[in-house]
Amino acid sequence: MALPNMQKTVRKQEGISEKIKNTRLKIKDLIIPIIVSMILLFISIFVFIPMLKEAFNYRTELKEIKSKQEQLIKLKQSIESISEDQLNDDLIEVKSVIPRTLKVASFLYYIDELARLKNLTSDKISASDVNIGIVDKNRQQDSNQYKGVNGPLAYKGSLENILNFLDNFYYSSPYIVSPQNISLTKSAELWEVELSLTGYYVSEEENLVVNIYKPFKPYTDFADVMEILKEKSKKLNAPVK
Amino acid sequence: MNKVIEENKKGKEVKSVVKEETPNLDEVFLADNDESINLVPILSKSEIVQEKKKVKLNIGSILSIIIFLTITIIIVLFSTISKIQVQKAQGELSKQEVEVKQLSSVILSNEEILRRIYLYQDISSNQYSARKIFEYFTQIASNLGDIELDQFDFQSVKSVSFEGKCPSLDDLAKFWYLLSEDELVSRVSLEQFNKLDSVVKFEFKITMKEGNFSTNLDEKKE
Repeated sequence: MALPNMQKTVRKQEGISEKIKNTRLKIKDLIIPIIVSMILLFISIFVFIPMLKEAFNYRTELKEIKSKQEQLIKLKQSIESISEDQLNDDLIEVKSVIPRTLKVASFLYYIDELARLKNLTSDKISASDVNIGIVDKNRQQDSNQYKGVNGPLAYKGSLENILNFLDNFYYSSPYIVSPQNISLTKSAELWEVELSLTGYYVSEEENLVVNIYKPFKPYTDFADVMEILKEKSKKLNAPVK
Repeated sequence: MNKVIEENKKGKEVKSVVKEETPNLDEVFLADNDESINLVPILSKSEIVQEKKKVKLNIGSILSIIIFLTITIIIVLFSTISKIQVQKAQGELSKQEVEVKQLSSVILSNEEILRRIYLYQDISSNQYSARKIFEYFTQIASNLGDIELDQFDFQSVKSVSFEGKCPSLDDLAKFWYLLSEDELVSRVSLEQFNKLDSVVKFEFKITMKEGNFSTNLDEKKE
């Protein structure tokens, strides 16, 4: 009777130890979690991170678009603040003062007329086309390329008349002119002035493309300059005496 | 009787052996009353703890999956919403662009006028009054007496050179001194001088301080 009881106990013990062995964490139990973790990691790296990157790119793009929209709204408001009829009138007037082409005859006529009014006699007069580059320090931009008609002029007369002539030719010419290398020489009782005079014009650009995202500045912000240019235009359009 | 006593003794010995082999209380059976053979062994305390751990592990896995799914949904939603917002904004922007491009003639005309305004400003900012410069230096010369200026070269708003003549080197030195001490003059250079009999001919090159002889075109608008 004792032997079967003992055997039973031994079996129970074996069963327990087997059970305990089975409940222990083994390497094969970790394979599936490790594989799943790896898959998740791969998904994170190859799906989530690109998706997040893309989403953040969209956010950046959205910000840019919003900024462009605001810029366009402002541009539209600025454009709408300009009267189109007034703009066309002003453009015609300004173009007459600084034309797309400047004829030498037109350019020199008013200067010569001023010299005649000041009783100066002409010594030398000629003109030719030039390209002029002007760098504006205040606007911090590239040099502006303009075209001009340039020529040496020489007049002779009394000192007072010569000085009046020098003082007035900025205003007497309806065109935009600028003197360079002014030389004043006394000869006997008379004075002779020699200078290189440039009249400017703005050549027409071909294939003009409107860049709506370029900063827009309405020309009406320069009312003082517009007034001067309009005055010159009036002078130009006035009948020749 | 003796047999019964022996059997009892053997039973006690076996029990004592079993007790000795038992490692600790954790592996003692919870119910070990019946005499039948238990093919499915009953759980010990340690087994129950391990089973509980497994359940916890499973809940942890479920929670992890839920968190993972939540993150997935959030990321997908974030990306999708962002994309939709961008597409919508692009559509609106295109409409605005079309509207503004219809006004391109105004923009072009404005640019044409601006080019001319900038040209005017460029030109006028470099203008100077030759008359003012002439009169200023002639005045200094006339204050000394017999100094006569007979040729001027106006190079820029800051630079002028002039030639003249005076009776003596003494006058020339005084004139030079006055020029160099003048508040509107920043630099004086006596380029050359030449004494012939009773006349001294000279040439000065003057660098002036900026802004004193520039022409304000607006104030002279007549």
